[in-house]
Amino acid sequence: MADEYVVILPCDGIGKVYGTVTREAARMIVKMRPGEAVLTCLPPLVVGDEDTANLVRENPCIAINGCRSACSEINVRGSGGRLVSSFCVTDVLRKNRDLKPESSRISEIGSKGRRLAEVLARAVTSEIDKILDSSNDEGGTDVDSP
Amino acid sequence: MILPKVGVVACSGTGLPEGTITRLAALRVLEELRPRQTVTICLPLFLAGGKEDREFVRNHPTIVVDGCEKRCGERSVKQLRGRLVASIVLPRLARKDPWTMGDLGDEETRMVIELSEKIADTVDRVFEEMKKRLKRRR
Repeated sequence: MADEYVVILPCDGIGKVYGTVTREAARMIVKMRPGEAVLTCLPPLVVGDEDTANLVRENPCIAINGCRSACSEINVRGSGGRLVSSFCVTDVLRKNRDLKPESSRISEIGSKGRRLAEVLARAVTSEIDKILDSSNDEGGTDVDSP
Repeated sequence: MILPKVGVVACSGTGLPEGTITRLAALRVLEELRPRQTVTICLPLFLAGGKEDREFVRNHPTIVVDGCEKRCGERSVKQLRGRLVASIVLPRLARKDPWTMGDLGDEETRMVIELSEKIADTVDRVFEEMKKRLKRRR
């Protein structure tokens, strides 16, 4: 693992297909940026798991939300995490309307859903690069979430 | 006789492959095995303060499926005074990387099937108990 890395927290929501898109995007991100992007579970953060809480307090975090409820963002903020950026699948979908997942099942996002996850993953990796570059240049700075 | 639905909370954790198994098993119960009897509860929304999800869990029997011994799902439901009727913890997997349906091998697919059937059996047991209680009240 790199000296500095960004913690990725997808919402993993199970009620909508967009939760599955966040999960797929997160998987792509850690493959695109091995060692620079680290995945962790959201629930332990909220039930008070110390290791997870330290991980998000000591490292820059990116929340990936499936919908406007922004559960990942809310839970990271609520536990004192160093949230530096937050993305939402529905925002990405608004700019890429042809990528609306067609599957009626939450478990399978289909080819359009996978392409949507890829667009999202690219946007997040670009943000990771900026965070790590600025951290190297300035010794670490936090930015407000968009 | 109209019976309430049973809630299924899967930890769905991204950090461990077991989270993927719990997620896929819960979704198989919802989408294939017991679609009329169950609803899945979105754990992140539940934890973030989702009013409807919290109300549901307080007023309906809820089954929790956790992917590791941290038991985040069970602890969350207990913390928020949900009606926990069963708690299942998945044994650790040897493999460390399956995160999505496409990544699952034969062993993980078998685990999804077995776990989903265990959840479905638990749903049936909860319904039988509800029916018995209703009969006793009459």
